Amino acid sequence: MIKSRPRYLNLLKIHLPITGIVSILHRISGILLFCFIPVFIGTLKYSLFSEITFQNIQYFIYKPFITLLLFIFILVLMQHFFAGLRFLLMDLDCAMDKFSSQKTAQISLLLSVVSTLAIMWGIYA
Amino acid sequence: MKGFSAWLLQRLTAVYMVVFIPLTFWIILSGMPWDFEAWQNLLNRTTVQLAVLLFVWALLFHAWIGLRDVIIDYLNPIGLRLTALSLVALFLLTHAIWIIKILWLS
Repeated sequence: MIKSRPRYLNLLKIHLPITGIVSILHRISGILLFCFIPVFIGTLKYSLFSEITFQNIQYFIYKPFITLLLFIFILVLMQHFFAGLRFLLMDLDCAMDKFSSQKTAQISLLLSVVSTLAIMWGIYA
Repeated sequence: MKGFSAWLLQRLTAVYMVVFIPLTFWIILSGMPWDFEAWQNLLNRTTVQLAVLLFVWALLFHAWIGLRDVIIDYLNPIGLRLTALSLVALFLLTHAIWIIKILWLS
């Protein structure tokens, strides 16, 4: 038994391995996506409401602030998507050892950035 | 809902969304630029309406199980926990009904 065990959790001193980072990001992105639900459903309603509201959306998409918000939303969505896909893979007993689980954690982060850039390119280019 | 059934529903809804989300991005991005009529026609198809309804309900169930886990992990006082759970449930239920109104009654 270690005598001087920590009595409090200093979040800044905890060093998470990459698998832990992907795990906590999955939780944080999940909470953020929950907050986006009314925006998502509201935008769908607004897009179907009338010709004018539909065109408003197409206009607003090019406002810098909305572009930034859309970028963050898609990044958060893609992080949750690929981290979740990784967990589904692990439910099937794939990539369970230390080395391969670290690899899939890195790949999930990489894919979330790459797919976000691809989608942004698809929207704006 | 608890234990295994919650775990299973979390996975089943995830699998449906894993198919729906890339497909939706693909359909929207490959069909750009959209005009209102084409967009309206797309969402007037029964198959699309049902697929969107199923997606939103899957999303809301998925969010319920996820948020419930987070609330149980971090909110310990029982009163606070029950309040938060009720608010989340009410929030999700409202959206479950709202999406029907958007898809069929507007």
